Amino acid sequence: MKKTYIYLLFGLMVIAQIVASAQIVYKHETVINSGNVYKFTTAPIDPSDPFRGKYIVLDFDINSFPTTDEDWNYGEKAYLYLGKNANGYAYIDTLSKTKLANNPNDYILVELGSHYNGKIHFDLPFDTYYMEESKAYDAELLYRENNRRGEAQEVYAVVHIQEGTHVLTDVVVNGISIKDAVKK
Amino acid sequence: MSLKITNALPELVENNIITEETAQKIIAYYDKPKEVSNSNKLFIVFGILGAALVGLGIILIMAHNWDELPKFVKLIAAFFPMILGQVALGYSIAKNKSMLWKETATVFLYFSVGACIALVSQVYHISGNLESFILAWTVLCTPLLYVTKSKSAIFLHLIFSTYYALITGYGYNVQTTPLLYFVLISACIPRYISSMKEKESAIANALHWLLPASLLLSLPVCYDRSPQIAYLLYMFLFGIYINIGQFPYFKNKSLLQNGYLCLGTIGTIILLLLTSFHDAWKYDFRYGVVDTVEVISVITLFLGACFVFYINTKFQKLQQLSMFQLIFLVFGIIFLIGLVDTATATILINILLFAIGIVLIKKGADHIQFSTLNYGMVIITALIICRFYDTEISFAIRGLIFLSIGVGFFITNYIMYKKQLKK
Repeated sequence: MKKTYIYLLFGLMVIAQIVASAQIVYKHETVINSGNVYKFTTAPIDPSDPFRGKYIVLDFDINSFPTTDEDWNYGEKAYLYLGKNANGYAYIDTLSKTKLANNPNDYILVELGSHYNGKIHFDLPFDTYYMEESKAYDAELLYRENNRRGEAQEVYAVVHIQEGTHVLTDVVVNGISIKDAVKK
Repeated sequence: MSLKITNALPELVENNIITEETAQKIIAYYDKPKEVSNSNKLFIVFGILGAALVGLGIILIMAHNWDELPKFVKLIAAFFPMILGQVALGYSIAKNKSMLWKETATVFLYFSVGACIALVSQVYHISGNLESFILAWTVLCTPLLYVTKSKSAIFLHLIFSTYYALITGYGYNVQTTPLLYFVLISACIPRYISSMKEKESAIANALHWLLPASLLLSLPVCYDRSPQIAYLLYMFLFGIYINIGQFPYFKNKSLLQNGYLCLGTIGTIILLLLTSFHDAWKYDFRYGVVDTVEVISVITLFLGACFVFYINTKFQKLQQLSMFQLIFLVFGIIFLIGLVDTATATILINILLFAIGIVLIKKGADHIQFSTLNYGMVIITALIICRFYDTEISFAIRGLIFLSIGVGFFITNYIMYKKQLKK
């Protein structure tokens, strides 16, 4: 291969490698700085990923939308429009197969599951919260331990949302960030 | 090799086979350049290993996820190794540094790109699955195949493409995305072909095994809900392998250097043995659903097998063609019969296997090839063992049959040995 082509290919590769990661940073920083903040009630569990380390999976209360329309395809994406109550907790405004031009609320894209019991089920796209290796399992234990005692536990995820982009920034257990709660 | 030759030189000079001058020239030819290139190769291997370990080390350290570190420090830690790798590789290309430099920088950059994507998605808690992560990583590193002539880049590309296929292709109700895997694999084909043009290329010899093995492992990306389609896909793939293994390029290569032929012939027999059970046809053919992607895959592989067979007919005379080259076609016909009548298909597969065994034994005996003869006997034995599971035969009779097969092995090999001695 000619030297010029090699330099060109190398240059393009370097740009692609940097841009691929940098645009994720830019997009998410923009949402953190200017997006709306929502709270989603949840419960954490602890698996791990071979490259990105330990994380907790969040199991959200918001996971279905009541509808009589059964014409939803499994695995397809849909627009979930959200509202927020006085305490900042998120609730479903509506679920739509297409983007709604006249709905002013924030939306996120969700993957659809099955339709049963008059509801269409879906997964929220921010169910992964990475934690320090030693803390992920403890976080799960902490949640289970508190639940066993029958104490009403308030666990929610803090999510910034803007124009379909979302950033999960924290998981809060009884008013304390899960990172600090585990330390105690 | 060189040690053997140089040790024999004094004897050759003493008996006036070669002159003293020639002996000196031979010593000079084998000794000096070899030492230099061997030490270079060793440095390159250590360089690659070092870079791979450092890269993996960075990924693991990042995976710990340091809570105490502020976000911007984590982001710097993510981008720094990647930019360092890019600078090192850019420098080695611009200054045309040695292969040691290029290989080490390539491997380091490969892993640091993965570490960067991983850490950035960790910082922002991005839920993307492992498949999309591996895909992004492999695609971003694909140009490494061509910017230097790095050999490690081909292996890394092949390993990660296969890994991608494994995590997308296996499991229940998986999303079949065969196209992406084949696009990734085809990106390294020009490098593979150019390595084949090099004389005595160890890389090409390794790729003759790794590439077919990768395709074999990744084939589940082509089917999802129809187990019966898998039989057909695998058989057509083995048909392609056997026919590629018969190309004139492989004519002077040993069986160990011909991964296509080895995987193709062994795979064909294993698949035939599996389908020699009636249950395989009875249960796996119950599912009537066949996806479009599965139909396209079957047609593509079938046409591929026919094409490589056609190329072979141009190089080989009709008598030189091996029956293994056409088994994929026979199996295709039996498969169609199996769709209507599973019992007939099972019987035909058993007859086919038996015929292959007998032909191989005859060929081995005629040409005094121990490997062919024993391969034929192994096929017949395996067929008999498989039938034990179908039929109710008493243990005593089973034992006697095994005993006679064992004795048969000894006697046949002994007769062959005697025949060889006579010749």
